[in-house]
Amino acid sequence: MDVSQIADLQAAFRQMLAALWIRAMNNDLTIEEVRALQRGCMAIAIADRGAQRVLPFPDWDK
Amino acid sequence: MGKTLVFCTSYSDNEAIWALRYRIWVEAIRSGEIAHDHLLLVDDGSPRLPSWPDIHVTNRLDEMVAQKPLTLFRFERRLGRQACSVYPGWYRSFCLAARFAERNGFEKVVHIESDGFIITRRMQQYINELTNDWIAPSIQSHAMPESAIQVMAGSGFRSYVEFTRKPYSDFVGIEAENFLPFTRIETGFIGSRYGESMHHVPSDADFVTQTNPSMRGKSDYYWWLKPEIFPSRSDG
Repeated sequence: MDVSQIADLQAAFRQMLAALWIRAMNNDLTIEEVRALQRGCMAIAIADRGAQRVLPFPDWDK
Repeated sequence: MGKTLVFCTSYSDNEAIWALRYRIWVEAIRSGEIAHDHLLLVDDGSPRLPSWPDIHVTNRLDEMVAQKPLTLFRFERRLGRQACSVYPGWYRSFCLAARFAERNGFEKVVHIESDGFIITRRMQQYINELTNDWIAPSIQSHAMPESAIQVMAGSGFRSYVEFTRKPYSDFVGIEAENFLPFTRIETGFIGSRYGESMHHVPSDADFVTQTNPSMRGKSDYYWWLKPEIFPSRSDG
């Protein structure tokens, strides 16, 4: 996978999150969508800033 | 000046937190001098809600402001916070308050987090007199704006409403004070996140944020508040 493919993946992730965000604001998320949104946020944050700068809370995914 | 909304974000899984944190915040605003027409708590899916007689609880944004002067808007599912700089729950609640204000004809919004307080009359009057801008006070000790206290009025209010249409994916991983487009950082007041490292709030403080959780419910710590707003021990 080259750099441009990674950028495409990140863009796709952001699109997914933006779509979920509309449902989140409308108070209309399923539990599965909540988990997808939370995990998507972490994935984007780590991709953008690096794992050293985004330290997850130990229990966030419990 | 039009109507003013004061809001905080909330989450609690027990009655004590509602009583000792959120109710104290409500009473502090009510007993202070910040002019306001309505109080709003935006809740990130708390499993338990307060049983206060004066609160209107809703999960519908299309409802207009109820007759009761205090509203709790509850999101059904918690988004929470996954890391220091990853907090979709807070951002969603922050955005909801803008929509609530817009739909209900408010023209000024004051955001004070529930562990934050405007202590002095001087700063409360300053907030009342603001008619423009999106303002946060500075924390000199941290060399940063304090996003836990914000005032949006005039063009600042319109910017707030517009800005909060953006999804969290635009800001995830960035601290709020670094992505919110404040138009002014007010440096004329003394205040800090004293509770991070201290068990008291200095007597010269104009504001405090992140009050120390271990001092919750102890009226001596909250020396600027009237003692009678704290629940008696028999109230739990």
